[in-house]
Amino acid sequence: MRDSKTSSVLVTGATGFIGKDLVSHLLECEWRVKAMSRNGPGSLPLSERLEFVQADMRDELSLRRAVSGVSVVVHLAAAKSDEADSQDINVHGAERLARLCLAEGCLRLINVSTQSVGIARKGAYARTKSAAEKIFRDSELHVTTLRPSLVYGEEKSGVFGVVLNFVRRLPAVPVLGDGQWISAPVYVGDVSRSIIGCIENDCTIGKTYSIGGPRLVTFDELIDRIGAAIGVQRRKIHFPFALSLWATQIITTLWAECPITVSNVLGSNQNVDIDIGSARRDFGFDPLPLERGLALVLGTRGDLVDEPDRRAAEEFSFISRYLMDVDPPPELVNRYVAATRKLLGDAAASEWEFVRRHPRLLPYLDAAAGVFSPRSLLRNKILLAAAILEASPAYAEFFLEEREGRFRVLRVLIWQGLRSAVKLAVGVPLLQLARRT
Amino acid sequence: MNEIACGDVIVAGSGVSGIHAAFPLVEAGRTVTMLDVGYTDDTYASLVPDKPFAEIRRRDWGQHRYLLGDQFEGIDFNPVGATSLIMPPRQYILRDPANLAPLHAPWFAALVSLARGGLACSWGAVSFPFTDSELSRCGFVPHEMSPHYEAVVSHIGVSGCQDDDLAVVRGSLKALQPPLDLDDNARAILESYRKHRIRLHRAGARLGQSLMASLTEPLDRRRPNPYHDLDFYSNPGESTYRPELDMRELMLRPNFRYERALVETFEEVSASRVRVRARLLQNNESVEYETQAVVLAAGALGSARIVLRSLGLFDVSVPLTCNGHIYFPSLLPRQLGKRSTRRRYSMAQLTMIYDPTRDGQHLVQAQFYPYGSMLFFRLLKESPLAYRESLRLLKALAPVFAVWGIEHEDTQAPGKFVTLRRRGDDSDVLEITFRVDEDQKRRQRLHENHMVRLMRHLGSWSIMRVEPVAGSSIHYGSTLPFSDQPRPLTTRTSGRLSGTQSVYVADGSSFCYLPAKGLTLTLMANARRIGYNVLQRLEAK
Repeated sequence: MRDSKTSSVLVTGATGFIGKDLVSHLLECEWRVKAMSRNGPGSLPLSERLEFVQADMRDELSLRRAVSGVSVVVHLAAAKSDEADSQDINVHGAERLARLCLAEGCLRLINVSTQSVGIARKGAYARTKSAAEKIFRDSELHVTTLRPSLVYGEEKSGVFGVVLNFVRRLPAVPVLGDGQWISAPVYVGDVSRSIIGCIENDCTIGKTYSIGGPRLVTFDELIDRIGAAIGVQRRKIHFPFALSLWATQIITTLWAECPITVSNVLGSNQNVDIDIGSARRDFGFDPLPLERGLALVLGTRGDLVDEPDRRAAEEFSFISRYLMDVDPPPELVNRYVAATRKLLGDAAASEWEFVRRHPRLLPYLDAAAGVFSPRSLLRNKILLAAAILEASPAYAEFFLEEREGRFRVLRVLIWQGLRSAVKLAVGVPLLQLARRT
Repeated sequence: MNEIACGDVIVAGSGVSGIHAAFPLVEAGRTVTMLDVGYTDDTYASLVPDKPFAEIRRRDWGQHRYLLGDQFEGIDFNPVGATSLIMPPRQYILRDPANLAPLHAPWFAALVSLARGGLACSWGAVSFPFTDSELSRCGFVPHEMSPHYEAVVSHIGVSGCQDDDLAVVRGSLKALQPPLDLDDNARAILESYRKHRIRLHRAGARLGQSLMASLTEPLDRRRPNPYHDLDFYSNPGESTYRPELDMRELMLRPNFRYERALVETFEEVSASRVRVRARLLQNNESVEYETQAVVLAAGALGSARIVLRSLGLFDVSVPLTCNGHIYFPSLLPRQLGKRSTRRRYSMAQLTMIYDPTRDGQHLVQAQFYPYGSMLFFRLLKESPLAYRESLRLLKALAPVFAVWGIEHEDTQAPGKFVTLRRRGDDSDVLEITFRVDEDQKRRQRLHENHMVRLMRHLGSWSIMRVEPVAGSSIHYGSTLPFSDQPRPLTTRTSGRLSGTQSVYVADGSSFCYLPAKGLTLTLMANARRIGYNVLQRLEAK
């Protein structure tokens, strides 16, 4: 084990899904962290023990700067979609990184790969990641390779994010394939903990571990579990594998930003062996069961036993959707619940009961209340939600001022003004109705 | 009851008045004991990172703690009031958990601080000295004050323009640091003023950069203002003057003692012996101190309470003054779409002084503030539109949004007074009555309208008028006003309380009226003057 107070860990791809989570965990464990990303620091936490370095896997010079002075590298950076530079980032990038690590005297490396390297028919992602695994294994570095299964957490992109979005919004969920694909969904925090486990246990050097949740589930089962966690039941529409693959190939050529990639389709239709036994043995890996992880991620308040608290959590989610079209993370839900308890107590108003029954009418009632009862419970609840959303880095960008051109501002003024007027017109009779019921 | 003989001087209160009165005495080697309740903040001070506002907003996952408060004390559904500008990290200055300073003030936002450093812990740092005529009306001898002003200014560090257009409507100051950098909106207003200067002068208005007790050059171990735009939350490098700076300095002196106790009464036992009764915070026990002189610096309300109680004058009224205070949220349409540097501090940028009578006797003052760091949700509350649309409008207009705050002078009047009432349980409560007469209100309204028109000339369009409840300016004075006659419940020009030999009043209680200016700088200068007066008296004995 290394002395965490003095040595520092380089995390490549630190602003990505796993990267962000890992950086926080490392800081909590008192490590010094060098966070590397080709973009800006994004919403990385502020800490004296965190240094941000902007570097690119394709740029030797910047990469050398990143590697210099660290004692461990956690390699997360990768081209995820089938973009042209997969080869350059995932394969040549790995070569560069391995070479520079040796040159700079940093011998320990945790390579975070993917379970897809085990599938037979590989897409660009699986192919390049598998090549990278080989490069690291063949180098003189002390490498541990991790192959996570389906990773879930507070993230909109990736297989889990897309499925969650479908389950939330669509009456029937399209499934690319027969739905019998088996994975071991693992919570992102568990992946971070497994990485730290490897850093801190030298017996993991030279080994490859599967990282997954404690249970295997089929894709159909996963959809049902997510549905159950947010309290809905969804039908599934299965598209045959060949058709899905073909359609995805066409769509991704036309639409580069498409959230589903060919590699996703390939990866989520071929089973691989997932055995986390060796991870449990070697560094005490102990992942969360799916239900607990989903509850954590989805903010489904299994932990809120109080009826008023549960109601407050529900309110916060529809107010946030109304205000900013967002589904806030559980941390903010809890904060709103606590603030409601503290500031609004058990205040009640007939118009608010009406809103709870018809959340879709909230915009109109808000507009009318703004004019006729600006300090009502209805307005205060929305204001409270806005305050909670504002004081979080997750949505800071939305609340920070930004200079824009005159014409754009004028357009915003006219458009938002018109919307307010229309909402007010609809809202006034509704408010009367709400007060009477 | 324990009795403690206690050195030369007792100072009641640790606000800027107490500190600046204590300094000359401590420096001359006198033993000084400061009695103070002295609440401090032990939660928030270390939480705010030393980084710019925009960066911590994007990256600090703990920001809700100091932006909203652990108990959500930063979220207020009520209309704008006295505490609206006091962010959670500074709200400890209003704590009074044991109700040690009970007030009854239904229509008046009376703020009393029992914190170490007092109300100036959240001071806006605008440091204009009073003009000679304002000083005379307050009851001072103007030339007596100027050395003290200079000494205080070089001690606390004030930055500003030496000779801009405001120099003639403020007293002169030599020891200024170079001015702070203005933000883009303030700079545009100032440029526009320079273009329309003649016209504005003719209309009775002058504009210039605010004098700020915030550094632009290092001073002792303090750093210049880093322009983090977090001045309402933290004070990195101690660039802005805060009382705790001097408290730390005082605590290091062997002849200074600080005790956490609430002063209740004083009693003169002989020409040079005063007995002070106080309640110790740690065990709620009463103690008596004996000393040669007492300096009252518990604030206009606190000192009045101590004096009235000591003299047994219940149900007797003393006057109260408090500056009227109005906000005008404004937009600067000409600034739309201009590039911005985003480097700024959050306190007052510009000061406009308006002279309605053209004789310098009744100045009205306006301050121009940026808004950004106060967060959208505080502003959202004032919007009559649906919140979703309001948010988007705010986002579009935020870069050109700013706030003017107008302050009016206040004179003693029959409708404004303070009375100490007995309560059943051997305690008492300070009752505040504050009725501004219609005539004064009408006059103020007139001046405001005029100033709003002038602001429009400068490219700043007021979108609404926000009038906080009376008392919100947090400037209180005149409870024990200066008088050259030895009348009871007044203060002699030397600072001595009439009818006593060695009790001095060092805070705003003695100001006969409040000009339309921040008081803090003058409070410090006056307290320093009184410190020297006390010293002189001790030496004469």
